[in-house]
Amino acid sequence: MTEPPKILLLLLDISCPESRPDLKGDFLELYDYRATKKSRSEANRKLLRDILSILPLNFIVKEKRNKPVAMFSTNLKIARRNLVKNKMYTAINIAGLSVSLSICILITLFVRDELSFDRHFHGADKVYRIAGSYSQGGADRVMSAQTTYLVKPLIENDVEGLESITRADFTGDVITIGDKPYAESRMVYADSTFFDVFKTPFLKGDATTALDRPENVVVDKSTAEKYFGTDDVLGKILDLRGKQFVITGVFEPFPQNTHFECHLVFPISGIKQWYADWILTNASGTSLYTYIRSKDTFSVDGFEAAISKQVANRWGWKDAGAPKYFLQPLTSIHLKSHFGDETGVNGSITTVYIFSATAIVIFLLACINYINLTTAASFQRGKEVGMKKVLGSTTRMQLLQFQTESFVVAIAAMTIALILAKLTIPTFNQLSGKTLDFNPFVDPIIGGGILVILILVGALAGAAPALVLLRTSTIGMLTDKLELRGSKSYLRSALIIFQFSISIILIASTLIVMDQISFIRKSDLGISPESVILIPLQTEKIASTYELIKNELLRNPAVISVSASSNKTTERVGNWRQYKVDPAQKDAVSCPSTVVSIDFFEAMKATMVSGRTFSKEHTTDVLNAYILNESAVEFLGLSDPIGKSLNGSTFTESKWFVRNGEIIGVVKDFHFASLHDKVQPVVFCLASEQTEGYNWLEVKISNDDIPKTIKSLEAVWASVAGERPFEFEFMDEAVANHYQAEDRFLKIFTTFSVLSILLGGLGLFGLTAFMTKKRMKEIGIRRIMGASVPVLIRILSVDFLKLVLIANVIGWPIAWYFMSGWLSGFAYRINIDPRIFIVTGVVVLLIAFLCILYHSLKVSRVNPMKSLRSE
Amino acid sequence: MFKRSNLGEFEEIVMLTIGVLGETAYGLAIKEEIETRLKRPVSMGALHTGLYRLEQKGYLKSKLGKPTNVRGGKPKRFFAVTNGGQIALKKAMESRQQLWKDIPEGVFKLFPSQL
Repeated sequence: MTEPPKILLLLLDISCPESRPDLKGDFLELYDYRATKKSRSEANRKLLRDILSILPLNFIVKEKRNKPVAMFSTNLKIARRNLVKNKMYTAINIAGLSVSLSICILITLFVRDELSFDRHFHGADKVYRIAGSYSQGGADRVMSAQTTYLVKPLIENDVEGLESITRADFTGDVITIGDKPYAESRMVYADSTFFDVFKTPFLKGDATTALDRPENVVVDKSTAEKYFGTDDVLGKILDLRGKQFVITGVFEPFPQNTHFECHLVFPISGIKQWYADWILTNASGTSLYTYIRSKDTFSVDGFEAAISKQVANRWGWKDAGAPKYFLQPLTSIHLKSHFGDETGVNGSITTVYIFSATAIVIFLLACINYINLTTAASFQRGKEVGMKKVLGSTTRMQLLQFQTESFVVAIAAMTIALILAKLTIPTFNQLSGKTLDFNPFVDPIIGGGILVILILVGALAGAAPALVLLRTSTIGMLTDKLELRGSKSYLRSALIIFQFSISIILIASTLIVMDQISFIRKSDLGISPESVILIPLQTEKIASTYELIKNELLRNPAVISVSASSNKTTERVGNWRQYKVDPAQKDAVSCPSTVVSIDFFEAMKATMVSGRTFSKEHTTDVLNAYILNESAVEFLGLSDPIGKSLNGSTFTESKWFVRNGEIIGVVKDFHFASLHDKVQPVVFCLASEQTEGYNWLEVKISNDDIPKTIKSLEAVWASVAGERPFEFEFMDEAVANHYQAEDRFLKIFTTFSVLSILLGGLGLFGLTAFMTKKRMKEIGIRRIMGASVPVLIRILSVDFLKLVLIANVIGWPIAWYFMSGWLSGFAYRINIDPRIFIVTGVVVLLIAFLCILYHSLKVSRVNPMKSLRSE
Repeated sequence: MFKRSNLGEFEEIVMLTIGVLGETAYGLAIKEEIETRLKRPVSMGALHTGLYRLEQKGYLKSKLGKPTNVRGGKPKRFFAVTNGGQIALKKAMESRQQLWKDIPEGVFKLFPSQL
């Protein structure tokens, strides 16, 4: 007699109506016949097909059931008793499930928010941003999200497929209402078509005409309420740089999941006069963003080709140096666009992937615990199951019993998870910089997901122990010769290995991230950012009073030094100028350049490698001297640069000048930007009438009573530049901000790795409890035979520890692989220290051992008399 | 409204086959008999659903045999056609015969003289 495989037998059990035992008999007979006549595999296949064909019968057959309600309540009662009896196991299950579920909820919210960016605009899929790739001289190209002012006129009438196009210059300025100035950091200068591209509901005014006249302005509801206390503000006046604008529209504020932030929209036609000439005329520059809305019939490739054609024809720019424009779908900008000049901090698709993967893994870990513990616990219930079988209980009734218990646990866990998620969401928002919230009763994804998980955990995880028990013979269960199968289950071993591999990967990764971050923190920037305050010189007028401000500031003894530069000392140098080392050289090379005050290097504590710094004694320095950093020396291909001539140019934002000078010094490389990037080559020169002005003030102060010093700085500012609000930031904080993403990454990884090891440990703790209970007698005999407690502990723990060791071997290379990838995002990075893996391994082993130790010790100390005497 | 006692074609075949098999008519035997006689595959689902329905209608009765060691210790269920079932079968046959009889001469050109 050939029997079908166990899994098919179980399926058969479930699918045949209870009241028709003959049906199963027919199946088995047919299976035997087919298996002997043809082949087992064919018999298996046909059996499966037949089982499927029999399923509808279940809906037709009327089982003679005794009051299902009574059965359900009995099931519930038994479930409650069981759960209460095994308090520890219930607690571990519920705790593990609820914590991991609450994390899943939070991550789902986060991922959903990240994916929803800009989709709220009506017809968002038709909107694109035009971005460009610009030549930097030679083969160098730099990608930018911005375009020139001139792209719109270039294409708006001559390129097919365009429904509307708008420029957007996101900026901040001071607006005046009545006679009160307000710093407004989020506004935009845009074309009148702005709201044709970004379709947004208007509360007041008409979206299509609101920006038509140069003296119009449109504000969002929150701004209107902030300044006027009402959204009924049509016709009200506000002042920008002494010019009056009339409010002609109020729009619904852009939601937080928009890739830009702006509250006021000024028509570009009204502010154009303030733009420098080069913005209006320079075709190669990047000054603002250009967005388009496409028609229904539209091809991205065709459109990009058409722009290139326009660049060649209209601008007559045909060589390789011409800018190349391309389109970015609006909905992809937040996650996939990472240029140097984005409108804000964008998210990253990698983070979304990492988060989703972690959510799934954490959830899996909890499920594994659950399955492992329930199957282990079910061994104790052999007698219950056996007795029920003898009394005529059917497979399905038993299955239902186990599933009821699962449901109870799942519902409890889910409730706690929801509460946990609600409680932790403010912290999570702080960490992720979002404003998320949820309501499980109206939220289809969260609510639906919860239902699905409930059913999954209840039905599937509940079926696992039943599967084990139902395969065992009834007689075996009732007699004490209970040697249940699966006590050395391969499945369980595999699951434990999986759990601990995950823990090891996460812990090793966390340690590597920590290592890299402390490397960044400790690494010498080349300049000293401690107690330096950066103050933006907000207007040219203020910048021109630099000497006055400096002298005023230095009167305070707490101010150690004051210097200024055109480039913020914590940002990449953005101005590129052309240089020739040799006047006869044909092509000039572009090199990042910055203008500094005379004592800049001293104030920033930069080290000179050779030559001297700028000095007042050399009166020619202002117009002639150049200082290069080491990278620039290398970039320009100079050896022994001191005294060499360098022919460059300067630009005042409206006029170009030739500046032929001499290299007077080389400064040791220092980091303007983050350690993600290599140090840029930089050419420094002094500010003069022929250069751009200063944009930033660097004030080094003493560490005593910083708030007082800042107050005095503010007082000086008010006296010299009172028309603008005082703004400042600490340079060391600005430096640290470069690594915000890494800090966040670290925090999240730390949380996850702690959680994963906690879940793994909890699981192991629970498992050993059951395992040691099962081996009570064995331990008793061993003790009588003279085994010592350490020996017993070794015997009890060695099997589990082996699994953890295997997990190490699996986890290490995976962690190494992923973290090498992560580290490659840094130009300056650590080598992965192999000791990290050893430490991880030892820590995880130790934790695992401690989890096992508790129960091993307990069982080893039981008086063997007690454990052996039963019955 | 008249009482619906029409038998489906498959039901009729099943009942007739049970008649043919007599004492030994249990699920699998019926399946095989139909498959060999009519040369058409019968799925377990269709057969058992049909048997169950016919039993509910009162056309079939069944009793469980003794469990044996083969068939996984499960009994066979032997079917027999009840009186009601026999009447229904007869009716079905007669109504068809009547229909055949009433077909005018020459309409069925293949079988011009059926009777």
